[in-house]
Amino acid sequence: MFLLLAAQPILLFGCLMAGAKNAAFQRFLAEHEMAALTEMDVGKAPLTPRQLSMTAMIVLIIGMAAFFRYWRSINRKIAQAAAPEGHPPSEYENARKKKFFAIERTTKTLHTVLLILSVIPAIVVIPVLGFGEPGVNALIAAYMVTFWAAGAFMFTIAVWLLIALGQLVSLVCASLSLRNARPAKAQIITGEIKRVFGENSGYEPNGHFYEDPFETDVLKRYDHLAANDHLFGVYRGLAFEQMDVLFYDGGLPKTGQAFLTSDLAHKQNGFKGRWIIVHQPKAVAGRFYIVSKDAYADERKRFKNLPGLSEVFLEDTEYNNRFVVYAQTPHDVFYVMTPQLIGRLKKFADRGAGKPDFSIRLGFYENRIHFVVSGLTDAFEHLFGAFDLDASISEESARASVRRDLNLITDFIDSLFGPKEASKC
Amino acid sequence: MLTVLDFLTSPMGAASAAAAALLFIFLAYCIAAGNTLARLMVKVQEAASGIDVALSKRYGVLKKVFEASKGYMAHEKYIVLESIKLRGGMPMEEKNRAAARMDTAAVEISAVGEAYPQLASSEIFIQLQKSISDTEEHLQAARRLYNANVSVLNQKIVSFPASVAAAMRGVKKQQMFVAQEAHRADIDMTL
Repeated sequence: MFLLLAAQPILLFGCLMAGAKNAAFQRFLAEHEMAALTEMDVGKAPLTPRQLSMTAMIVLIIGMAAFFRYWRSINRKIAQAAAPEGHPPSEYENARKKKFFAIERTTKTLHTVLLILSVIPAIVVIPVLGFGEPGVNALIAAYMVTFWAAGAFMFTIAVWLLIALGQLVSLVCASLSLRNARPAKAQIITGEIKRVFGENSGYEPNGHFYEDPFETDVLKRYDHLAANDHLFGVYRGLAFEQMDVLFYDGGLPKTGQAFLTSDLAHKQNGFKGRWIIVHQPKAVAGRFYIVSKDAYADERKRFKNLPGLSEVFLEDTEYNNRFVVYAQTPHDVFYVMTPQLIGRLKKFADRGAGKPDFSIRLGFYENRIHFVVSGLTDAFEHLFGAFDLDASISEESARASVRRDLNLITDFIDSLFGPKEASKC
Repeated sequence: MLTVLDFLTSPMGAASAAAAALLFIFLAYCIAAGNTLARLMVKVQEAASGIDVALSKRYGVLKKVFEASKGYMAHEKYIVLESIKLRGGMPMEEKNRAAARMDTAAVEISAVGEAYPQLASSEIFIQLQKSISDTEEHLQAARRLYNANVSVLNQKIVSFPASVAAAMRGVKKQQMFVAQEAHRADIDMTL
């Protein structure tokens, strides 16, 4: 029971998060009159998750007050009841009365505490933490702990069931919301991709690269790969692909039916990030890899152990101090990594310096450059990212966030292949 | 009778043992440095043969372009290419000269292409021009790889005590493959 209660705020947090996403997305749909998408709008449900959560809160407070009033009245009746005529009060009855009076005192105290608790979050916690999950959760957690401490188990179970029901409805709503969101997300992303990269570009929400990323050995061979948000197109004459990737060993719990790269918080036994492939004009006979020395020192050992690879030093000392190159054929490295490209790579790395988890990890394979960036904010998931109940998503902000995510691709190509190199294709 | 232990514990013996140890360490270092130098030398030789391959490829492509544009250029221009003689194991100076002549030939071809738009627009000429550009990049890559290896080797040779190992092994400083003045700028072969 205690565990269930302790888990309650966490569960509720998830519930409200889904509710918040849904509420924000509904507003977004309504504002922009996406008629085709609003057909499945969860607004048709009797209560939105947010309304449901707040209703549950109100019911909880009223129910709590009513319960305590009822409990105290029963107590009073029993305590004031005279002993049956002809039977002097027995010790047992006295003890029972004492017990009830003790309960009476406890309930009074609890009532006061609960009243204070109802007020404090309302006037302190919610304005400070916002009307989103932290404030509401603080309130709920306080109530639940108090009930449990008071020993009102049955009542707690009833409240738990009520909120569990709310969660269930919220999750269903969230699921519907995600179903609604996906076509809208695809529509927005496709629009932006075509605007930036032209008509030859495309977006596959659940698409994958056509080649097996494991074969490239840019990353270690994890047990599993999950990927989505496959983009492809041509920029500055260079064909490219990108996808959000999640590599992991062993099992991974999934939320819902669809995989979202935002699902993964841990990086200990996995890798989460973006994988970009650029088809560059120079084909190489073997393969080679460039890795930042600072961020991926542990990776050097893995590359060192790959068959046929040896460390290659370029003529640029600063470059050699910052990056390590492993190649099957040293000639390939010097062929692709011209002095101009070396300079550009250093500048590109400089620009990424300071950004969390940003580091260079490049794999050159045939005529393709594989660029893997770890741990950036989950790309193309901003429509799902409004956790604040009061956050609003405008179409322009959604498009701007997509453009920001596309910037990594354009930045990479712009930085490494100026107009001159790209025009050769 | 003086035992080995007695000798080693005496001042003279301790000094001799220390000297022997130092000599052993020095010899071990020389052997290790010698092996490193040998490995570097192999790398330099491999890189040098990479230059040979790149030069040979470039020569082959240039020859094809000259054949394709024979009717458009004077015979004396063709002689520039004919004068290039490639053979295995050429000294670096000869390689430099050959590369310089090939550059001259490439410039000639480019000039002919500019003078005859009909030739410049032909598919085969465009393809061959791209090949010239590509072989030039391969040659530059081979040159940089060779120079990088030579630089590491030469630095080793001049530093003590690797210089002793180099002298013992007969490893000498290698000549760099010098880029022509025109190559120091980024060559633009785009059409």
